[in-house]
Amino acid sequence: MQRLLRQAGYAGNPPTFRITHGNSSIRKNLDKYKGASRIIPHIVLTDLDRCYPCPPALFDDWRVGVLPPSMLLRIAVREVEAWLLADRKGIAAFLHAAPEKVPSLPESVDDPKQTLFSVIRKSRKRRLVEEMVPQRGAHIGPLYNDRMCDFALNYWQIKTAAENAPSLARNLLRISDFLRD
Amino acid sequence: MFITRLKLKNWRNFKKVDVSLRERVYVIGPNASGKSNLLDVLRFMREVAKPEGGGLQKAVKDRGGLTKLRCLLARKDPVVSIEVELSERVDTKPLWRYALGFKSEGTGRQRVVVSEERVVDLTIDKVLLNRPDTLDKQDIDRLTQTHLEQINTNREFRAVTDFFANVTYLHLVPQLLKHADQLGGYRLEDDPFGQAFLERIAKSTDKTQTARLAKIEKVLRVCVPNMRNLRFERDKITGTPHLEALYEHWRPDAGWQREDQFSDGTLRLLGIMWSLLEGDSLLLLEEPELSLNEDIVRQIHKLIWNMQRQAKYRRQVFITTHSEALLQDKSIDAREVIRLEPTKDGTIAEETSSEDMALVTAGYTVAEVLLPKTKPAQVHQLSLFKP
Repeated sequence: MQRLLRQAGYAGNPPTFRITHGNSSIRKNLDKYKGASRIIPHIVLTDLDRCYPCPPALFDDWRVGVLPPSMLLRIAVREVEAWLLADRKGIAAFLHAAPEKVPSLPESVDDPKQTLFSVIRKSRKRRLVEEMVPQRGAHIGPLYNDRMCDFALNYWQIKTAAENAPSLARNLLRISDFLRD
Repeated sequence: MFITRLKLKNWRNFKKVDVSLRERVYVIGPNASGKSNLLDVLRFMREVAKPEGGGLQKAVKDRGGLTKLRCLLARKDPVVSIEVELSERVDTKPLWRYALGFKSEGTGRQRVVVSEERVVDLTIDKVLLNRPDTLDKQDIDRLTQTHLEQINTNREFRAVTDFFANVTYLHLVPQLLKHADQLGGYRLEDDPFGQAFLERIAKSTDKTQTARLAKIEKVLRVCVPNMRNLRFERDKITGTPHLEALYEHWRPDAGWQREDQFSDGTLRLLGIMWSLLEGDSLLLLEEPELSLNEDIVRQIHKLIWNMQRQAKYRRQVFITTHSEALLQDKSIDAREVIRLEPTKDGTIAEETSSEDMALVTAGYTVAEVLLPKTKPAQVHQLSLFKP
């Protein structure tokens, strides 16, 4: 999110990031965000989470209705991992794997996280596999989050990624439009 | 009385603080931001004002001398100063203002000397004390003591002295209480960790004891549902005081258990509640959420409010906390929270901004608005990736 904002041309007071842990809580709190966005502009970013075929379906089901002009609700297709995979060269170099192993259109992949794991499994560094790929019975490896955050903050080429991930490109555009207003 | 305003200069990791306070004060901030240091100001004032064995010199010495106390960032200004305003209730005109400034003597033995001591009776706007005065200038040794600590000189503002002297700090460590026998008799002064908690209960008269324990039991039942008949007993042979409670069991008289079998959480709750009912001055609580189930933590605000209401004298409470669950309570007034933020220029203490107040009005809880600001920047990113 920090990178998205910077790329979209955000320059202002450091914003406050709130992490809600789950789509359902965003859905529940939608009215609250609507109210609060009159005080501080809100950008709410969520993902499709495999329950909905496309963003309009989610809008319908959540009964989003009319949003105040100071609130932006954006939906990342599938998972945030897809956007990171979209920088093919970058992620391959970061994970010490061959770029060909990374899918060229990550947003059409059904489960981006599993795809990411399979890329890591082909990494030349054994250590990365141990750190990031989960044991059976876990969802992620112990250092998965730390490594991916490091990548997202310091290595991820957001422009390259936007070329491969249409939803990322769209979101960037909308966020920078929103920031301008 | 309540402390309604606190001003500090060069106190430990705070270069400057000026905050207004309410009946409950929740102090939040990241680790090592100075939450305990903020509470320590009031423990310090208690030690200065304490009638037996207190005083400025001792209070400074106990903290490892002035060099440990003074903010590292204080370069030009060597004075550490503390100023408080006391009111009968919040949102009313304050009654007293007490200011104390002290520094190192600068020559010779490098004693700690008072550089300023002012008492203002705000009801009549009269300055009762303004030091250093002419007598102090004639006899420099006078400046090694405050007037607050001396019965002869604090007559006109005894109420202020009494307020400070009765400040209580509680960070009950259940293990110290449970294993008191094995640990031996060494007790820290003023019992910050609740080692002598049972003796404190023992000292109260039977009538107050029963009344308070009844109130506590009623509240405790919600948190520890299978506990009944909280009572105070003395061991028949050794005379040592004990708390007992009956746990529900199919054999009616089998379930009597003593405090060493209570859970850590139960003991901490007991300590907090007893303290709320006990004194009439400020109570300082360090992380009351420790060893408690999250659902109970959610009740802490209500519990404190309830106990404050039931107590004979309402105590102001300062609470340091990291707990999201505690601050999720919708009845917490955003003005009750003081947020500490470490910066390169020392930690700053901030009241809730008007913008954040508006967000709370819009429906956010205090936890949602303020806690994200206390997290280190990198940690935000961690939970972007759902498991």
